[in-house]
Amino acid sequence: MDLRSTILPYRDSLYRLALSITGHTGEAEDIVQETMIRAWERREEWPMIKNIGGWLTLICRNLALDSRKRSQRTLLAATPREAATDDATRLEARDTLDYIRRCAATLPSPQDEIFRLRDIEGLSYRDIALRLDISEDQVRVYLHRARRRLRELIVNKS
Amino acid sequence: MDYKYIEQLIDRYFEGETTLEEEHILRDFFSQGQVPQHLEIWQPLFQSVASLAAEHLDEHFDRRLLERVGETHVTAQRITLQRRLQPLFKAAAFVAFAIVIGSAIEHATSDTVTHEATPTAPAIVQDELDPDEATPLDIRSAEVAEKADSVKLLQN
Repeated sequence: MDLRSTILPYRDSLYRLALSITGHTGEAEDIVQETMIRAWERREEWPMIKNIGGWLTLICRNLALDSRKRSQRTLLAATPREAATDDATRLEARDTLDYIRRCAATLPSPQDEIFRLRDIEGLSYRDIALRLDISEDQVRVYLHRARRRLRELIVNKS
Repeated sequence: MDYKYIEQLIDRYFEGETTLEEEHILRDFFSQGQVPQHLEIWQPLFQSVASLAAEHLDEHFDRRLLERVGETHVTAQRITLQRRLQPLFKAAAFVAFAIVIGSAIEHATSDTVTHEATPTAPAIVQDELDPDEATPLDIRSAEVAEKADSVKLLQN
């Protein structure tokens, strides 16, 4: 079990997860790198981990959420003008990504994760079930709830 | 234009009943420029999903990561045609060398056998000549005979 074959194949998936949470490409890349390094430092545990993908996702998600919190604090601490400029630049640059980020942020767990795995990663119900260690029926139910919630959100907004 | 099929797909999508292929059709449909007004409401969702799904890390990420964890980054090496054929050249050179050495040994062996079997005329002439009594003409004749013998050997 080495880095290349065991954890590196998850890099793009983790990157999209981090990007959907932070909305910033540079931050997302740093988060994926940090995730991989943390996983590498605990490589003696790999043979005991049943679901490496799920484990990496958990590390990455926590790091991304921490990063988002830090960014929000920095934004609040900045002068109103700086904050407004930064915010406007981000929104302008990553408008579509921000949209999906805001939508996904309204979903409770594990609906958000199932929505991401299905719609962003394009996984089958079976693969999602295996990744999250739940049944395929549960995947269908959670996905249905997630999309219904998104529809309500979009309709109410318009 | 009839958008019944797309409308049905949208309904089924929100019910969680679409296949991956049908979801791909929806993303493709909303990624195009012209979307009817009554369906525009769904465009940001499908566009943003398609946009995020296309995001990936660049090729430098792996190298930077492997450097940080202390592993050597193995890159594919470009091998030239000359380098690829090098073992063949080596084998050919070895075969040529073996042939040269083999024929040299063969010549040396056959030379010894010839000398032992039929003593040559110049040898007899040389044996019969007394160095003190031999005239320059005799010595010259012996040299010519020796050279003729060498040529004969080479021809064999």
